[in-house]
Amino acid sequence: MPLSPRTITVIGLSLRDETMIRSLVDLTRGRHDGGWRVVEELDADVALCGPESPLARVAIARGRQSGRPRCVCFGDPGDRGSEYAASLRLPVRVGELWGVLDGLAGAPGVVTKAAVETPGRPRPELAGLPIQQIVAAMRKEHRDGPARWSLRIGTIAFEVSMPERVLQIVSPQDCTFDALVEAASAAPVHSVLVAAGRGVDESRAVRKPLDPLLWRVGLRESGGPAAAWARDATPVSLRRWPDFGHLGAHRPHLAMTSQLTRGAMTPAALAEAVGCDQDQVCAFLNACALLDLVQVESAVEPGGARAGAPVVRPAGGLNKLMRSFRAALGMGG
Amino acid sequence: MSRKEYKLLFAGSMGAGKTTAIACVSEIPPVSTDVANTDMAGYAKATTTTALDYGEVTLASGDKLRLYGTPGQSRFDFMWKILGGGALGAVILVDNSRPDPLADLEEYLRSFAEIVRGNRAVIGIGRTETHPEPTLDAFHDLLERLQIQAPLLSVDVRRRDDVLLLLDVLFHQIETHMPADISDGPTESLA
Repeated sequence: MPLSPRTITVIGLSLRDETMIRSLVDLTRGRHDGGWRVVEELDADVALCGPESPLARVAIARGRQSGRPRCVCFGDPGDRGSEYAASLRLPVRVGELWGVLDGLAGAPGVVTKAAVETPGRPRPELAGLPIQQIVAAMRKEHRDGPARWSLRIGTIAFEVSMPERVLQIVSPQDCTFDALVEAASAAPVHSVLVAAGRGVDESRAVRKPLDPLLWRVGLRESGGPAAAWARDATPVSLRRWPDFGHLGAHRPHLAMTSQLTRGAMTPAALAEAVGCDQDQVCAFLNACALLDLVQVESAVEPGGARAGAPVVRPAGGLNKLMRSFRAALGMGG
Repeated sequence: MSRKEYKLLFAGSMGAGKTTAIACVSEIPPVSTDVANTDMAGYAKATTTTALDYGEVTLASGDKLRLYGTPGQSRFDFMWKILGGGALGAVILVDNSRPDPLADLEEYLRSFAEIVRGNRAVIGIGRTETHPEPTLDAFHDLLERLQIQAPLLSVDVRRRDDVLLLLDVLFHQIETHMPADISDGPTESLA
């Protein structure tokens, strides 16, 4: 059943800015979590305030007393920045606006105990980025301590706990993992909130490891860092084996991993060694990069050639023997 | 007529799934030398392998791939060295529900050091769904500390596909790291 939209009121903005805000808020109509709607009353969830407006002082005072509305400064708050829950400045991106609004209202979709106790801090600078870059930020920041990341891609809201790398789909409740992979592969993340501390809601069903999502998104990625490695003939290696028990295994991936854990190779050399095309190699390397498994060789030999392990092809007899093992076990050649 | 034979080991602590894994792939009912487990306080398992498990797979050429499961209890570790001799590779299984799975793995890595450092081993961590700690990252950190690089996967050896995955990874490691022709395995005369 759709939730009721949360409310936002606009105070002291120019007609042009108010019209823009109304049109952006209208885009949230139809969201499973109810989205937002603009109301005239001061009794709203969020008030978007022009900093020069006297009515903004009234809204701030009211918010302090009763908790509503949460006030967002639209413009430069000057010395009064601490009076506001957040601020936005022109030009405002859709992702930024939604990120701020959703962050102030708590985690989107299901309201959980964790969300109430540790409301997420909006990260508007990350909104609009593909999940690959969000993951890079997660990896960099989790060294400061555990954190819960609340993300939204299209109509799908999900949370990631770091450093555990656990994923939970929040809404829609019937959203499948495949649908999330599809969404994450096709669209940027448009809302990012981060709460410090361990906030995984143990009462929710379906906690999954994050890595399989990243793996499948990486395999579908065209371009990515692997394209540059292929273009520049950069040797790369893997610092460890991916956990194929969780990720699912394809025979070429096992062969590639075995080669790249032995030594660095260029994508072209790897394709030759395992007998597949470079697109497959690049997809595999993109997936490994998302799991932070790739090590890039930086050494360049005199003359401009890059170092890399020589291509190893199994001796004919050995290859034949392994094929006979696989055939006998019903694994195919 | 002479036939060649090849040996693969399945090693790991008691309850890690060696017998189950061999049963998944052996073409004969595995021969197990099980007796009653006299240490029920330590291991809630009715039987334990005192000597070894045995299974086999016949290749198209008539040659044999012999599968040996080592006894899990460390008091039988003298058998590990005997069984390890001449083995093509090893599958090392770890039960993540045990009190100290990292110590278990370290013991087997040291006991089968020649095979492991020859890049002819694969490690399967079982029961990670119900016992997520230690994480696979912790196992990788252990390998790094021991300066070992080996494939490490979370598996459920009750599933045949998972056992085949372990073996497929092992075969790739053998192909990549043993470029010398080893197709001339020990020969068993059937004449």
